[in-house]
Amino acid sequence: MKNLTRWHRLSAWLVFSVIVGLLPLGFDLLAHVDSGRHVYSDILSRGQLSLVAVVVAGGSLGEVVLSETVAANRTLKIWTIGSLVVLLALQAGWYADTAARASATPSDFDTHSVVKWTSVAFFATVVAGASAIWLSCLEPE
Amino acid sequence: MSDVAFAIAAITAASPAVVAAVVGTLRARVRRRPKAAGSAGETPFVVTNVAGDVVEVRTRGVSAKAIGAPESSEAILAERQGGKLTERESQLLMLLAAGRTNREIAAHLNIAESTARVHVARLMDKVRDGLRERERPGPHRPSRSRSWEEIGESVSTAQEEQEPGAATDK
Repeated sequence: MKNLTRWHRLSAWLVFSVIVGLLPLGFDLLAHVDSGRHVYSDILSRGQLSLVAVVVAGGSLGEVVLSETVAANRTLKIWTIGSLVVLLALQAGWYADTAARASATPSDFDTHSVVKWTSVAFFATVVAGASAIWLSCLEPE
Repeated sequence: MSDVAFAIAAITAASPAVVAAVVGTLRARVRRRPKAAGSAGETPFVVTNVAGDVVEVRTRGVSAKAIGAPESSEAILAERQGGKLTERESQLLMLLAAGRTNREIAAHLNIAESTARVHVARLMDKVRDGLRERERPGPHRPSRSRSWEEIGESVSTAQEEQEPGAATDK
């Protein structure tokens, strides 16, 4: 692991955490392709991306917590950990809220809004996760 | 809470991690930047021992002159540190040698006074450790412990006795 560069580790995290995390939704997409309906709304309408985001944020959190950090970057590490914990809690809560709203009032439930904003939040989580991985790869002195 | 609010909160929560990564990368680049001897901003100076003998010529990122400390403090600094202090600690030591207070040091280094106090305390611990090492018997070590003032005086006296330019090579 020591010989891996930052880019290698970032790529590995992207593949094994983000892309693998999205695989179930990818298979779901394939299953819906032939139906001819608005597939994204079907697949992501209940905040499924929030679930993947929780996994992504959790993986990054583990990486950054276990990483060896230079003394000068300790504050940055704490900031990153705090950021990921908040993201985790937020995404988990959002998923619970979305699922509850979808079950309680299906007629008023705006699936497009859910799909759009969970995608935005998912992207933000991936960027934060990548930043955390990057920070954890900064070599100790 | 609406979806938009959740998304905005998520973006806000993600931003510290991004900022931390950027700052960490910039810091790492600054740390890795090689310091070429004799380049701009580095002043060569002569390292002398307590007796004032020239031990070696070094270049460092900081100099007594650059921070307005007395010239003799460079020699004192070199004598005291034995190359074990960081640039920042060297800078602090020279400021202390110049008789600056914690508040003045903080203002000079653009840090909080409490931070300066902590730095000074750590520096003094390190310096005391160095003194203890010197107290141990060895071929080139003084046979008794001396206070900073004594060391400083001996270096200054030795420098005065030497020709101008012999103690500092600037």
